[in-house]
Amino acid sequence: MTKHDWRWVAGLALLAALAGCARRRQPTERFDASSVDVLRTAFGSAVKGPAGPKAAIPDPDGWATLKGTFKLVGQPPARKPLDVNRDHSVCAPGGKPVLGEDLVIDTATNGIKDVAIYLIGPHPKFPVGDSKWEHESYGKTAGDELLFDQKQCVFLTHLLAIRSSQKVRVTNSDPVGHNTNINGIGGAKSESITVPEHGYSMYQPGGQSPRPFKVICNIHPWMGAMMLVRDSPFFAVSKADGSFEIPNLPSGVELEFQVFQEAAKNYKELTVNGKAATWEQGKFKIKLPKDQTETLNVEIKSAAFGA
Amino acid sequence: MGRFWSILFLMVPVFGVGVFVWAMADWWPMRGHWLPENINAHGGVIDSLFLFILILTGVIFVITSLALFWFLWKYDAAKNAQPVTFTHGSHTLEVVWSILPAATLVFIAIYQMDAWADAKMRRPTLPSGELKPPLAEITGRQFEWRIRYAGPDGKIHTPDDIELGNDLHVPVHEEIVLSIKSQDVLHSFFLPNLRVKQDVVPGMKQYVWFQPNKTGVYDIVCAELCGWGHYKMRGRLTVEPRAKFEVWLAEQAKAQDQSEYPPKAPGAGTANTTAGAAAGLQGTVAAAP
Amino acid sequence: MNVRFASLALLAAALAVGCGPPKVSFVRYTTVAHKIAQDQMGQPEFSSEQWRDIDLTMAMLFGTPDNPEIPALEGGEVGQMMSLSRLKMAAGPVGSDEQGNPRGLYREHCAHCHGITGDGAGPTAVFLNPYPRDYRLGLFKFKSTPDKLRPTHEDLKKTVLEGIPGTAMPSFKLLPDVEVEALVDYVKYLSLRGEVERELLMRTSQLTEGRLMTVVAKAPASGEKAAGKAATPEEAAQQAQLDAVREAVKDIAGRWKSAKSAEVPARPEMDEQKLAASVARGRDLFYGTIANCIKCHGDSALGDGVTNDYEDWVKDLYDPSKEPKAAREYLARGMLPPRNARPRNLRLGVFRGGHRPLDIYWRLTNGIAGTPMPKVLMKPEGDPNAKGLVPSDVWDLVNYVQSLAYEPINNPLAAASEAENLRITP
Repeated sequence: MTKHDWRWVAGLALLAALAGCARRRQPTERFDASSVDVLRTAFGSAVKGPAGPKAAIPDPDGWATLKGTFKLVGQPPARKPLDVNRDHSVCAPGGKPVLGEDLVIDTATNGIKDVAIYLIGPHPKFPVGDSKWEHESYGKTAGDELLFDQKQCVFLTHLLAIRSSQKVRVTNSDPVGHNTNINGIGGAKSESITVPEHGYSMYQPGGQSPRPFKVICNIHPWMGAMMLVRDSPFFAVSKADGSFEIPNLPSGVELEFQVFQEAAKNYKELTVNGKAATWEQGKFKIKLPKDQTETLNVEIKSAAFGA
Repeated sequence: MGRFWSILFLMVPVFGVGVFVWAMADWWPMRGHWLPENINAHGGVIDSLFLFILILTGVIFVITSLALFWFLWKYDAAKNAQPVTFTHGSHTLEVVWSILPAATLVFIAIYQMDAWADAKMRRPTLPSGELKPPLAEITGRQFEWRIRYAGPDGKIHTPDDIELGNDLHVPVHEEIVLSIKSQDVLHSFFLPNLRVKQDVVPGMKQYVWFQPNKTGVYDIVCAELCGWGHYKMRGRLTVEPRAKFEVWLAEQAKAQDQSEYPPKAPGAGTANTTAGAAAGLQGTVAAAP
Repeated sequence: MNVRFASLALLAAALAVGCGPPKVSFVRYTTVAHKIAQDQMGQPEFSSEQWRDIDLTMAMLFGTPDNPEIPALEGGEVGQMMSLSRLKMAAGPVGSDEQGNPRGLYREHCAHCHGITGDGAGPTAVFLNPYPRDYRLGLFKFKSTPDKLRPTHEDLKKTVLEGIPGTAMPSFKLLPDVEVEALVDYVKYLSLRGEVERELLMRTSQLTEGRLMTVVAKAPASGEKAAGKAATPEEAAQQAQLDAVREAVKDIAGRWKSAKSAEVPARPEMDEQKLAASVARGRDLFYGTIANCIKCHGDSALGDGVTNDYEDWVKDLYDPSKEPKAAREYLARGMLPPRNARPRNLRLGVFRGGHRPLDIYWRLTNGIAGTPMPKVLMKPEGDPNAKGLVPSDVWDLVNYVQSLAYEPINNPLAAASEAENLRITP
């Protein structure tokens, strides 16, 4: 009788312990409540004390040009065929496979197409219209309308870079309807709109995006492209041979650029003008001497594309 | 064992009866625990049957519990050293306590047939003799009651129907017929204050009917466990005069047909479709949900 | 008997101690954190120091599930979106305070599906189809504002009041108005909180030092402020970090402030004949190449056109068509199992965003944010030869769509007589 009772007690004790301990563990907070209060008071204080010496941005002394090439080193990864599952007569005529566009390497020059390079510093917000920073030649093109077309169910421009003051005329040269789904980020607005055959829609971004964003079609989900919207006019997208050029950049000050390629995983092992370099998160800084043309020949290893 | 357990068993009829007495008298802590107010003209017979069975079974329950207590107390082994005697039973007793309950049950069965037929079989008829068409179709789904009024053309499942969720209005002093069905699993359409309860079975279309004779706001609840949200399947039944009901229905029809934003001022009136044209009433409040 | 009683007493005591309302806290945005860490920093997770900073900043800005706070911005943008007294009614454990005002409304009505953090992954969420909304993306489907703009207060209130027919979202029309308002404010609070957390994670990934809120400097005493003393380097650093956070919150709150309902042109008045003609025109448009409806909704409007697409909440994390195995990483971090986005079967007559003509007009001209449903192309002003629809075309489409549910072809047995209380389905 006694032995039986003790088993009973042990079983109940175990059950009770499990019931009592059955609280899901939340991550314990690693800060104390007083820090929260201090910060909250500082955050809400309307009186903004002198914020300390801010690094003043010096004025540029003139204009310069940046140009160069982006090339692949090593075996280019094979372009993957896309899953074309509707409107085959238009999108895959003759049953030909449709290949992905996220990494297109020129067989002759090893040039990487559609690498975006754009200005991100020194200003956190670019002073649009400031004559010291924006060359007058860019004023003429500020309100331009750029074309973004699609044919055979492929966006003809795979990475379209525009200024936030410009407009995009989204057109459809196919005999079937598309819907162009622009997934804007940051200040660039989103818009998903049906574009009939030989129809058009005007897209006005309204602000800049911190990095390129996706444009897709929901009727033909394998279609994809990217758009970049920047306040400053200093950006370029590399051509099929990997070359790019940005004229009339402010010279004599340290500029920061961001590089973006859709399929690149990192920019750690680069060769820039023959020397090994690492661009942390694809960013690099450069100071251009006045009235000079600086050339950047960048080589990226195919391993960076997950090959 | 012993006398302690006899007392414990005695507590069962004591507390059992106590709970019912306290509830029927609406005393604390059983306040609000008795039958909800009945506003159905046909609901009285349900309450009568309930009370009759309660009293009958209650009396028998008390008698048998007291008998059990008495035997536990009197023949407690600690106090009773006499040896057990075996009895061959009493044939008479067995016949009596078989026939009496059987007769009682047959009596109850026959007595309630009329009540059952009234609630489940005799659907109200129009003066012409036809069966009365339903005022609304109630569809139970997890976890709400979708209510569908017929709209101006008088037929349910036409484009001018008025669809609502959980909000049922009926006119007072009239025979109301509702058609009820389920969209997914078993639910049970329960109107406590009308003594109406009917399981809605997927694939089965049924009718319930009642005649409310008091205005007010009452509950619709689900009485069949239908999933994790069963407790939330609560609706609101509003019984109001026929005139007010018509005004409310017209407002809902107009709100359903709303095509302007911001909503137009009251009295402007829009007649965009058959529904709007038929239901638009001058001077109704612009109803924007 | 003694041992048995002791055991029962022990069990009762232990269960009593173990029970009670659980301590809740907000859940970290681990799915997006994984994506940002991978894409921007090339590592699978943020470090625990980086998380500590983010947790601290979020607690400072938004408080806890029991005690919410409103970030104090100079322009009062967030204060205009929501009121603290209403947030307090919605927050906390279920009950009421000394004045008899309700508390814990969100936990009572919403949290079991939408989650304490508004992540759409509460305990019952995984059993639902469609899943409950994840507020943290700031995308709401059924609203009056175009594209991916934020909904207005009225849009959210309508969803709470009417529910969403065809889904598990119930109607809360039976709640008092003040409670509904509290819930709507709390939804906005959770949405703002989620977007801010995402933005803070993105900013952390872009910082060279990699940490968002390293300095917690004691605020200067009022005497010193009055004297106009220069800030210490510590205070200046803190101010710079807080400024960055302030800017992020201002940006996101600004999107709520600037969201305006799309204008709706008047619907042409119609009698039965005109309505029939309108429905016929709508059918032509439905099958036509300007609106392209059948491409996704299918040749019979049954929603079987494009069935392999996904909603934004999936594509936000990874591309299911290119890297389907990435789903595992996100499932492990709390993402619900992804499902395809199915276009609506228009013959059911169930319109989730509401079946008023106004609602369907908005769906067509605004699109449905966060889903593959686009908006229709309206004829551009000043270009009469351009392709596109005019408002009366859209109303024709609305009439056609509303008529689809009642087409005789949907219900071939309707003519069969319905016996009463039939026990066997015909």
